[in-house]
Amino acid sequence: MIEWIRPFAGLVRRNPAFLIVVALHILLKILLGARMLDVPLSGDEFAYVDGAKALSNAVRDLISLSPFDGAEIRDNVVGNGWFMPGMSIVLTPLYLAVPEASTATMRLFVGVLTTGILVVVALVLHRTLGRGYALGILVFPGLVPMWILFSFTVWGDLVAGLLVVVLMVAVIGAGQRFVEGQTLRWRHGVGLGVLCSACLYVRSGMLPLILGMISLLGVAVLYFLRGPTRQAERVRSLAAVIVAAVTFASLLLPWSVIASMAYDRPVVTTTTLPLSLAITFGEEDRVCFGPCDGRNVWVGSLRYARGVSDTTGVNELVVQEQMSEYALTGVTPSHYASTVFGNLGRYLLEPASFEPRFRSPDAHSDAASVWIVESTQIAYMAALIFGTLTLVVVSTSRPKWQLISIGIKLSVAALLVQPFVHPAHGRYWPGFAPLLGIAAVYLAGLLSDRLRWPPSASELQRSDTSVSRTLTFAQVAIVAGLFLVLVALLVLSH
Amino acid sequence: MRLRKGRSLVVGLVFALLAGCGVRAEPQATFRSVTSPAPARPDACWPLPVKFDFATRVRSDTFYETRSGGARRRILIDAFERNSDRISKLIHESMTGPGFPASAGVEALKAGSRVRYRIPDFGVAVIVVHPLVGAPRDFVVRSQVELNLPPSSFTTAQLQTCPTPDGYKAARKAGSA
Repeated sequence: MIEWIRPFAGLVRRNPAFLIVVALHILLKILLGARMLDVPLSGDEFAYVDGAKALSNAVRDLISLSPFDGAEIRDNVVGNGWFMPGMSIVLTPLYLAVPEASTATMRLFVGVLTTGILVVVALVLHRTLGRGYALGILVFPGLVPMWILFSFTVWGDLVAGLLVVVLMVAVIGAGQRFVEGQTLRWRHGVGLGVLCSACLYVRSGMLPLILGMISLLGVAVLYFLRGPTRQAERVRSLAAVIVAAVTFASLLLPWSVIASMAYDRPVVTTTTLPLSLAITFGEEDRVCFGPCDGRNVWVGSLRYARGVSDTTGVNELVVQEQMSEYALTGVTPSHYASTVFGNLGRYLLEPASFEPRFRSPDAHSDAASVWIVESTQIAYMAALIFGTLTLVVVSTSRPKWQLISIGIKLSVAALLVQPFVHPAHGRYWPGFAPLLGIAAVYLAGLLSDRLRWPPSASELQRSDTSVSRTLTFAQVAIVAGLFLVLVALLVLSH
Repeated sequence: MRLRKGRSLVVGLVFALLAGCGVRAEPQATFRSVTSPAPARPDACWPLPVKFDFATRVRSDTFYETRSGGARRRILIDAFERNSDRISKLIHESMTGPGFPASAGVEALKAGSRVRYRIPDFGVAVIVVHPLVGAPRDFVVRSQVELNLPPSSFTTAQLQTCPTPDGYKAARKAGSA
C-alpha cells in the first residue's frame, strides 16, 4: 500500500497545490456523494450491475470448481449485446465480497474507485507530460460537480475518458521515442495492447480511437525509423506495434467469442450499430417495418427483432440489420448531416442535462441543483473553448509540444465519431472531458513557452527540422480533415 | 519480495473464502427481460375461421369506433418471407377454399390490395395486404396484412384466454363492442 502512496506523497511534498486540489476533489465528492447514494439505477446501469453479479457468481463457481451457469452469463453479461463487459468486470469484486450490495454501496464503491483512477492518471501525467497536466486533470474535470456526480455511476464513459488519457500519453511517449531515434520494446507493445483493451472493454465507442492510435504508431515507426541504418530499430519497433495489436486482439477475443456464440453470428464488440443507426438517422415510423411499440424505441425495436426471430427462425441480428436498412432507406445526406449537427449539439453542449437524474426520487430542483448546473456549465464551456482552440492551433515549436498536439487532436477527433453513428446526449461528455482539461493546460503551456521561453539556440540546433516539419504537417492534416468534415456537414445540411 | 508474495497470497485467500462461502448474487437480466418479445399467440386466439398458409406475427390488435358508432377490430400482422402478391393469393385461396366469397372482387390499391369476405355467422372481414415498399427480396418481412374484423371475431372463450385488443374495454364500456 505504501508503495502505491509513495509517488503521490513525493508529488504532494514538491507541489502542495496537488494536495489542495485532491482535498477539494474529495470534499466535493463527499458533499455530492451524499446526494448520489439514494439515486436509483438508471438505464444502462442495470445491465452493468446485472453483469457484475453474474460475473461474481462465475468467479464463485470457478473457485468452488462448480460448473458455470452459462445461461446466467448469456442473459446478464452478454445480455442484449449492447454493452461491453468492462464496467461489470470493474464492479465484480464488490459483488464477490458483498453479493447483496445495495445500490448505495455500489455507488460508494464506484465513487472511491473513480477517485483512485483519477489520482493514478494524474500521477501518470505528472511522470510523462509534466506537473501542469497532472494538476490540470485534477482541476478539470476533477472539480466539476457534474463530473463528480457521474463518477458515482457505472456508465463506462467516465472511466473510459480517464483511460484514454493514459493511452494517449503512452502513444505520445512512443512518438517521443521514435523522434529521438529510440526503439519501442515489446513490453511497451504489451502495455499499449492492454491499455487499448481496457479502453474498449469499458466503452465500445473507443474502437475508432484505438484503431487510429495503433495505425498511427505503425506509420510513425515506418516514417521516423526509415533508412537502411535504422533497419534493426525499425524491425524491433514494428514488432512492438504488432505485439500491441496482437495483445489487444487477444484480450478482446474471449469477449468476441462469447458474444458471437450467444448470437450465433460474428460479434466483435457490441451488436448496437444497426439499430443505433436506424434510431438515430432513420425514419422513426419505419424502424420496426412500421412504428415500434412502447415508449422506448430501443426496447421496442429489439423486442420486435426478437419476436420476428422467434417466429421465423431468422437470426435476430439479421433481422436488426434488415430493420436498419429499411429505416435508413430514403435518408438523404441533408437529413443525415442535420441529424449529426443536432447530435453534436447534444454531445458537446449539454454537460448538465443529466442533473435531474442525479436527485433522490421525487426530489425537486434546489439551490444545490442550480449550483451544480451553473458551475458545471461555466467550467465546461471554458474547457470546451480551450479544447476547440487546441484542435485548430498548429504547433511548430518543439517536437514534444507537437506530439502532444497530435495526441489531443487525434483523440478528440476519434471521440467525435459517436454523434455520426449513435444518438448523443449529455451523458457522454465525461468520455472526453479529461482531454479538454489537458487541452487547456497544453494551450496555456504553449503560449507561455512561446512568450517566456523561446527555444535556445542549442535547443534549436538539436531539434531536427525535418521531424518538426513532419509533425507540423501531421497536425495540419488533422485540422484540415476536421475542417473538411465540418464544411461537408454544413454544405450537406443546407 | 517475499513479503509482497505473502500479502498477495493472503488477499487471494480472503477473496477465495469470500467467493466460495458467500451467498450467490442475484442478477435480474433486466435488459434481456424487458426486451423479451410477447409470446406468440396460441392458435385458439386466431380471429378468423381459417388459417393462412404462411408465418405471421401480430404487430397490433385494436378495437376502434366506426363513424356509424359501431365497433370494429383491426389486427395488423407481419407476413414473413413472401412478397405481397403471393401473400394476397394465399389469403384469397385460404378464404375462398372453405366457401367465403369475396363480396366485390379484389380491389387494387396504390400499394397492395383490399378484399372483403363475407363469412356466415361472423360478418364481413376486410383484408388489406400492404407491401413493404423498398424492402429487398431477401428481407424476412416484406408485407403486412391488416385484418379489419367485426366484433364477433372476439368470442367469449377467447376473452378468457387471449390478449385483449387495445381499446376493447373502453369500447365495451361504451356499449359498442
